Amino acid sequence: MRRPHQILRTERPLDRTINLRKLIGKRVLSKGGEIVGRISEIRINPVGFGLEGILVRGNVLKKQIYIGRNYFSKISKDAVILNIEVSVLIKNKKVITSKGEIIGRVKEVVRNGTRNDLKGVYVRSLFSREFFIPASKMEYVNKSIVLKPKYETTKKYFWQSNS
Amino acid sequence: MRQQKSISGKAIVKAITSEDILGKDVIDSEGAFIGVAEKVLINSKSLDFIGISVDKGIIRSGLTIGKNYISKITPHAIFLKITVVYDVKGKIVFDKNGEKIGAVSSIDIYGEKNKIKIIYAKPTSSLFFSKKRIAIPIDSIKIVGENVMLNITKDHLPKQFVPKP
Repeated sequence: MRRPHQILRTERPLDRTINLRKLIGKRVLSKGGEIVGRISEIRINPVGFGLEGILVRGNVLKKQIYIGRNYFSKISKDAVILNIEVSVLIKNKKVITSKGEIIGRVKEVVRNGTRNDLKGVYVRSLFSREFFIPASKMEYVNKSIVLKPKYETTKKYFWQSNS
Repeated sequence: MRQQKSISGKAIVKAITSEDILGKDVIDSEGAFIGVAEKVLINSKSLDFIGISVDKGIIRSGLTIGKNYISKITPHAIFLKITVVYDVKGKIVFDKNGEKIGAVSSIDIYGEKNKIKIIYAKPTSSLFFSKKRIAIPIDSIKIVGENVMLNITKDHLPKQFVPKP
């Protein structure tokens, strides 16, 4: 194919850019390789014309996720790789105390505004009411959430009163 | 109940017993469930505790974990200091650009340590019954997380395939 005319001032030449149309449907991977989903939309800033973020496809069970460009580590023709582990994906992960007791699963993730920073999670188990665990009480968040040794669980069963 | 007599020569009040270990969940350093402790291993000469044997279920083969890899034994579980390298099996391998290379079919480790030497990945393009494998050395691996991320592109991977180990 013949090379197109290029009309540029300080911009990158055509062969050093990515065709956004071809990125639609490509994978979005977290820092650790977790598949976040596939790209459904790419959004640009109407003022500065720069790339603002990507919308990750959802389904009946999974909400769409809009990820801002500050969380991108790399964009290639095959995927967008993020520089984070997406905090909203910890939903349904197990919550374990420092003594190894499973106290429930994450039902809701509370973040710092729209950032990826975790504020805490609402946890529920089969017979318990939902209770909140702040991020400061978490030892680490990975394949499950393990709590710090001094955390006293506030788990309450349905038959216990609110007070 | 009458108090049990002791001829241990040491204060063993705080000691735990095999009953405190057997049947407990084994959890790795990332909070992943590894299996259930099924045996306590004791050195026949020194009589020291040397590790545990973990039952990983009917499908997966068992695993022996040395005591140096155990972080703590709690009332409900046994916590490890490490993520078990064998758990990398089945994870998807992505190159530097996020292109899918294949799935980890087996690994080589250094002796009996929890350290990967080589990862063997079955290419996505190969057929189900194919014995072709790509050998990926540890230097080419960036992160082993939910999946495996490489620090090289697909083009820089070794071209020759190795037979299934």
